[in-house]
Amino acid sequence: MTEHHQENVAVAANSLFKNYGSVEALKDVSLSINDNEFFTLLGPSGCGKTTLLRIIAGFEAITAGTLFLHGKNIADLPANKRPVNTVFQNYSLFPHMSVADNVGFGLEMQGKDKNQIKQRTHEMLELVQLGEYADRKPGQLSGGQQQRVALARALAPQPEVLLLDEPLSALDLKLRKAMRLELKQIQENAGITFIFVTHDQEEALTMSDRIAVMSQGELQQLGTATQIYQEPRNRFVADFIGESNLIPTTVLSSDIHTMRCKLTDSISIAIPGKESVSEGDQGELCIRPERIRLSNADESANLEGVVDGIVYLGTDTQLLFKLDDQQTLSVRTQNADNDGPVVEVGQRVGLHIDESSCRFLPES
Amino acid sequence: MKTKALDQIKRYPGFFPMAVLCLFLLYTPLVIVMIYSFNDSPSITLWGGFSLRWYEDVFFGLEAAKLRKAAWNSVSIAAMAAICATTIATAAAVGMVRSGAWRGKTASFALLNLPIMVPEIVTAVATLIFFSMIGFKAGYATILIAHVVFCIPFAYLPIAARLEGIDSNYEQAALDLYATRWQAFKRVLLPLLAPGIISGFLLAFIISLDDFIITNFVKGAGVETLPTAIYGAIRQGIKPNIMAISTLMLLVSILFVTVSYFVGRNGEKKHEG
Repeated sequence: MTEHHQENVAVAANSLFKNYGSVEALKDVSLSINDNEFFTLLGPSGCGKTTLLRIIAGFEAITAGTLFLHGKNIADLPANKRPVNTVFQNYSLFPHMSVADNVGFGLEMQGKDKNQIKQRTHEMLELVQLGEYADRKPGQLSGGQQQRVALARALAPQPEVLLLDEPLSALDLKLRKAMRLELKQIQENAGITFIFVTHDQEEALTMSDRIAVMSQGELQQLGTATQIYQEPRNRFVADFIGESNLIPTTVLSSDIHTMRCKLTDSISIAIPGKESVSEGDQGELCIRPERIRLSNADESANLEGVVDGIVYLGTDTQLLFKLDDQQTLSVRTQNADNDGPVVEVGQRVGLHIDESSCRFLPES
Repeated sequence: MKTKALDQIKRYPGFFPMAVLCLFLLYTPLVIVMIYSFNDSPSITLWGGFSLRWYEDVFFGLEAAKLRKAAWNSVSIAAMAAICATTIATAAAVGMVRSGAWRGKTASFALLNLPIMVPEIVTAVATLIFFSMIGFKAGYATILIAHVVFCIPFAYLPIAARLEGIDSNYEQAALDLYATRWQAFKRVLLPLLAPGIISGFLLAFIISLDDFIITNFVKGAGVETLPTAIYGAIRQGIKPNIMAISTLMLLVSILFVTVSYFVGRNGEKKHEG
């Protein structure tokens, strides 16, 4: 594997397995993370994302597989010998040390000289806009400030890769949103690979260059935000990322360009074709709620439904429809361009589905 | 919830008289000893006016040299025993609390703390037999060794309790920032653990200072600690100077317990901070 190390690959994991007794936390996970990439491990709790992060950090040993950092095998390297730093979920700032001593700790342990430590610490605190807090104790700072100190502490020794374990989860919503942009900016300026763990899809979608969606210890899909949203590979990804209507279906006909899938007993739609799908295959149709519109005079309706519920959500409105075969369909309409028909519960309405955005998910 | 429950306890009938009775039974003897240590009369029951003569007697009287020697033995043994016991207890606590789950952990915990529950007389006899079997001559060294041993569980409890409250992420963060295990212990865990270690040390010191039974068994002839010296003096009749010594020891104990309390509380605050 080492011989084939590619220039721009920061972390390469190959067939990683991790067992805790009889529990399999990671099952055959392979992925490679590029230099200067904002890479996110996304999944529900217990999916193995934190385990993978802790394995890269060196806090957990792997049961089987290989792990390379810039072409170097690090599987057997202890945590303190890996050029990798972590921002912990609860920051874990040393409460008995000042902010400056916290930030300088890594450099001190590396044996850097005093002036160098002082200068770099100052630089880092300026970067996170906490210059005047150098002499405070972490306990005297707000959650958001502690978060920045943790970031500065982890960045100070200039790690090859920065690991972030749900660092925003302890902050309130407003601060969390502001920190997302800031994190992304810091990552771009520092030019360091970030591996970010989160269960929050919005966080993942807004910050990441690429996202690895995980579930039950397995890698479900790896791609850019657009890829995993628009081309979900399986039911889990379609369901976990964003909202989707998942409708059981049968493939009626299929070629490379299009396939026709059953929507209701009497209606079928033509969606983009997919390799290795053939006529008669069973599976599910993934239709995003924002890709369905109430039909107006210009657009022909694919199908009709009866309005079953209306949920006002501020920027948009969610409409729930009952189809003729009792299937429920969720539709989102933007309130900004809401000059189409205004509906009420019980009304029968024509719907237009953007067929090119629908995906067929084969049964796994 | 907690405050409410505490509030309610006050409303139980008889709570107040019961509390007063308990406090009375606990502290009256101590208060009487303290008062009578200032008694001018040589009688231990008749009040003869206020005086410091028995304190003078303790420091400069006939038995002063003997008492000073005993006090020195007590303090030096307590200090050394507490230092050794605290060091061992700290290592044991880190080993027990930070080692995850392993076979025999519960048994080890029981083994560590059993000495607190074993009747002291049994420990005393066993220690004496052990020393004579291996041919140790009874004296200062045997007292010290015995004290180190029985102080360990007392030092262990506050240290382990403190350690359980310290998130292991701190040590991981230190390792992540290139610290060796020893550096992580010295620079991060030890300062956070300090209040527990100080509490453990003070508790061990007091337990050692105050021990009579085991000391009496293993001390050998001629070596006395304060408790054994006081016991020896009482056998020749109770003189009021005993009350003066007792009062002094009580003050030392109160001082240590108070310091231990504030160290513990301060540590808590900082930790939460």
